[in-house]
Amino acid sequence: MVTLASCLLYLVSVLISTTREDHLIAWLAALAIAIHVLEAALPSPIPGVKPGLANVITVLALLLYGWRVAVWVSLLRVLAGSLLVGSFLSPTFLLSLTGALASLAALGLATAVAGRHLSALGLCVLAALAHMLGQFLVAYTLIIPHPALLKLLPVLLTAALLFGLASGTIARMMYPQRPPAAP
Amino acid sequence: MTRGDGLVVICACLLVGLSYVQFWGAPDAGDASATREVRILSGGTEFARLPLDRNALVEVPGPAGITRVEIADGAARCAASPGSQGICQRAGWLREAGDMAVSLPNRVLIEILGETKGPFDSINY
Amino acid sequence: MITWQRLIPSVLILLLAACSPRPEVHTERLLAFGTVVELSIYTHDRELVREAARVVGEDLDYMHRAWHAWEPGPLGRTNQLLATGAEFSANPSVLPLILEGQRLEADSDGLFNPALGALFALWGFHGDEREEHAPPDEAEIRALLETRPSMADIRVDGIRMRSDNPAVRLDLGGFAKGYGVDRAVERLKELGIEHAILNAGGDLRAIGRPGNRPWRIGIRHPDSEGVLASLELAGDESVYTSGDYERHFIYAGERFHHILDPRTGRPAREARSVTVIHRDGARADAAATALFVAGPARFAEIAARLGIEQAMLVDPQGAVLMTPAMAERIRFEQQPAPPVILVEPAR
Repeated sequence: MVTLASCLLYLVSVLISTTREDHLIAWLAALAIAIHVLEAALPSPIPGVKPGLANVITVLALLLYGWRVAVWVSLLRVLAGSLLVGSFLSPTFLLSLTGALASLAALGLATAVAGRHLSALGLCVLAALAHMLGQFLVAYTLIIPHPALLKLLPVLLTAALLFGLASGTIARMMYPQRPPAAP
Repeated sequence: MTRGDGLVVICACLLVGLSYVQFWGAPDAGDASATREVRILSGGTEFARLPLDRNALVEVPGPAGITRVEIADGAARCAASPGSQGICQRAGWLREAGDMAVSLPNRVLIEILGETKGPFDSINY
Repeated sequence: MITWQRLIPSVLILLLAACSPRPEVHTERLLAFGTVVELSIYTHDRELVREAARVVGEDLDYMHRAWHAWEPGPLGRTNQLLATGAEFSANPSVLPLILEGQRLEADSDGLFNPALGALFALWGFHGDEREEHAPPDEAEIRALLETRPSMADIRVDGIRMRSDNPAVRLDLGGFAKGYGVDRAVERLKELGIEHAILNAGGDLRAIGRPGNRPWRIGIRHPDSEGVLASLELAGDESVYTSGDYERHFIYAGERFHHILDPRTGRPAREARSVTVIHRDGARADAAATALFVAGPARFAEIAARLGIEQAMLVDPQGAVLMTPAMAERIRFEQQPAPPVILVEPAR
């Protein structure tokens, strides 16, 4: 189903648009969506709060094609991914969106401040932590404002750090160079 | 791994470690395990909050004069208060959670903090 | 996918239930309304209790200032204007209490009379604390009672009012606390608090319940600090007690307490304490005073007139007079239990 949906998305994008960048975005988004959908099936102590594995695609998009593409890939992924999973406009969607926006913000800031000093690994770790912190903040303030939730934060952050390191290592193997100039 | 990456990873590890200290750390004071504290209210506000294991003499100013609170041997008492009937002093040494002494004319309340374990939630009088 | 979506929240709830701090009764004490106020809330959020105590303390202090019988303020000003006999615009913070006071005086057949402020002043029960001094002369009391101040002397027309009797001097002390606690409990409900007891100087209103048990209340013995009886509350009820031990002075070996009989102008002697359970705190507060003055002789009649179904009176010999509805709820905590006489409220 996932592959089918990704191909559909690609086809639609090919039919509507013609630029090379659009195709790129579509392919990367399709890839990210596949990860997003797989991730949705992962259990999490707080529903909707996910490690953000799809961020690896965002980071790669950033490194390969720059900030604009990364934003597009990320937002398309959240939108289409949640449509596929069936969580569009639900709290889960809100959390996905928050995670995506938080990691985009962190990546934007990091590349602007220290773009030349960071590789995919650092970026992935940053994105993962921002993703988790953003999601947790929204989950805690808007969805379940229960003090017991705070006890979960260290565990969630540990998971985010580990996933960030893992995806960062993979991303570095795929793309060992440093990012292009700041957005 | 670049030097920047290293810095990011170290900072991330520190953040995660801090979160453990912050949210899984030792329970804060006021729990049963901690030493008892005496709280002194003057008017509508908290004037002082002191541990019972350290001897002290506190002067609490109020509309009628000065209420003297003495802390000694793990207990607190109202040693002197401007009220003419000595109601505040008559409460004696306050030791257990929930014990209190009040000077209404001087608007001073002295109470031992902690959850009381009595059979009643509230007393009607 | 759908199974996960359904399963995860339930797992989460279990997890939260397992590691969350269980709700507990948290208590904050403060000085407000001229007395010690104790706010107990059943919650896991300690901070909420502090915040609620702060809000309630501010509200009660505001009301206390507005309704103070002998310090300058809205009620003091109202008393000045009532004494002139001329018509004036009522202070909005005082007007609802005057109307309530009129109803309470009428319902209690004059045994509860908030227009007798001058009598309380004569006895020296105005002032936060009093030195030992002689009770007033019988002649002074007679002269004062002959002026016959009554809440009915106050003519209220919309927001305009005047007094037919210049001797009317309001002292709302008999039910202002009840009225204030009622307003404060409404404020607690607005803050989203569902399970709480607000105890102001011994009189209380309880809402909700702490978990799956009812609130447990101890009623003080009039002779000691000990507990005479206990009762359980759940829902929304007020418990008010008037006792001769509350405000009093001793002169030449005789004790004079603050519950004055409007008929004699002297402390009522037929009771040691009266406890009333009623939803409305202001009415419970006034009824405890009125039934104290009524004594065993008119207990049933005054309770019926005031619409009080649950009341208990401890007489000077230590015997307990109570309504059957009260007897169902009271559990004596002292051995041996005092002798009990059941009286059905009836006119």
